[in-house]
Amino acid sequence: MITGPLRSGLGRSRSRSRGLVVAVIAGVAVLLAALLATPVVMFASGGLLVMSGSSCASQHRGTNQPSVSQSARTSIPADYLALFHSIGARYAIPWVILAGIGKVESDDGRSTLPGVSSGANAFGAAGPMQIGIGGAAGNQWGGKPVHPARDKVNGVATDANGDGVASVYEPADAIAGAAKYLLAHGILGNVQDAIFAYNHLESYVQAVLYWAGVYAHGSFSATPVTVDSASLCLPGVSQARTNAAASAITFAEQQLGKPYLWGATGPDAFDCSGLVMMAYRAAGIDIPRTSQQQWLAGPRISPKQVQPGDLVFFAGADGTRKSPGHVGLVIGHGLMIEAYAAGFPVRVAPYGDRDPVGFTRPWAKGGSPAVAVGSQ
Amino acid sequence: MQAFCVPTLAAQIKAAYSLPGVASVRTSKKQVSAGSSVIESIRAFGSHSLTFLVQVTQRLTELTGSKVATTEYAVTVTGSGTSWQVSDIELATAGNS
Repeated sequence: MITGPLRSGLGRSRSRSRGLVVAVIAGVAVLLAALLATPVVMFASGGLLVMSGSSCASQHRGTNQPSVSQSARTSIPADYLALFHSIGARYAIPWVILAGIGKVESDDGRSTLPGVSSGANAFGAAGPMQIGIGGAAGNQWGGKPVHPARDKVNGVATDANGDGVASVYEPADAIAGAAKYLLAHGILGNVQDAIFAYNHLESYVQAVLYWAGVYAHGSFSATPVTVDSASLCLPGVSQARTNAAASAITFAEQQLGKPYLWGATGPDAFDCSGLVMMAYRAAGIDIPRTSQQQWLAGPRISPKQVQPGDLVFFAGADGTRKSPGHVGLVIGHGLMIEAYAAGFPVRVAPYGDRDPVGFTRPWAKGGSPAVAVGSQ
Repeated sequence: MQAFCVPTLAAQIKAAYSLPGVASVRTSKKQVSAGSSVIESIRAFGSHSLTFLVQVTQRLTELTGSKVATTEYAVTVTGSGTSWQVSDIELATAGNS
């Protein structure tokens, strides 16, 4: 939500006396005891779920994705297997999750049930990955089931095979759309919740994970890990140019899975600008409170020069391209950490296909080269 | 004040308080500020934090007279048991969706 040209609270506090701040704090302290019985918004952050029994690098960017089991080679059509693998790598999602969904939804396109190769089923799901195109499922695809790739739509529609058409019935496009959907629902922070968002049945989640295990050579499972250990798996820290940028990324990674709340600046919930502001505060760099103010604060960076630690801005639901209402923290590989919206935990998501307004570089204002951090 | 604030916020307030431009105005106009606050509501709480909406009234006296300003802030405190510190102070209207 746009808050207009208001200055941050700390900006205003510059003209206030130290006594004023102390008075506020004292007032807060007096009422602490009364708070505990008051029913208000309550935060809850789930545990992070990632692959177990594999190296951290295997969870991202595909080069060390789970190996293909013999069962996968013999049961998944070769074209689907190649697509699951390549699209999983492209979107930094374990390919076996995509394959598990493909298996459960349509037997990798081989099902003859309504809605797989044409039309939609009774709930409005279509294509081999059974993505909603209307009806009870909602139009998650975004536009018409088959539409020109140049059309701007509000959904996961993708032209992954480069034929100029985004088709929910085309395996490559559908699998990429499914990958986008999982990313949008926080799969890098919580695998099971993202699968549950795909189809709201616990038995569905278990079925997908079962097939994921079958398809992964050496087994695959989603088990809880700590936030700290999960953050080590992300690309940004090791690529940051300065310690300030690395510190900001580290802070943001540690918030993965926490809920979005408008106006929140942590530690239990964040909104988008509150997250990046506190990330840079942890790095010793002050940036303004709202995304509109942060965009104005700069310094602006060309898209070709983007580095981990930069901020990426979007018009957002309530903003404009000149006064962006949404911001994320770039961590490299085309990914950012963002507090997206109510109902979405703080997550890792790609930003390239979200039509970003531009980039700024708060860490240009200070910090030493990240020699030590970068060597990790 | 460090007892009341987390280190990152204390450092930020210290830096803001001592900005030359702000300090010079404060000195040249001989400003004296007194403040009071009323907690209006609780915006949210989590396992490690509470966020209040606080109405702060500032009475500023300077060479040219005095004025009163009232502003609503979101004040977040973190901690547990009897040990709590303010971790952030922001305008209550500031946020992004």
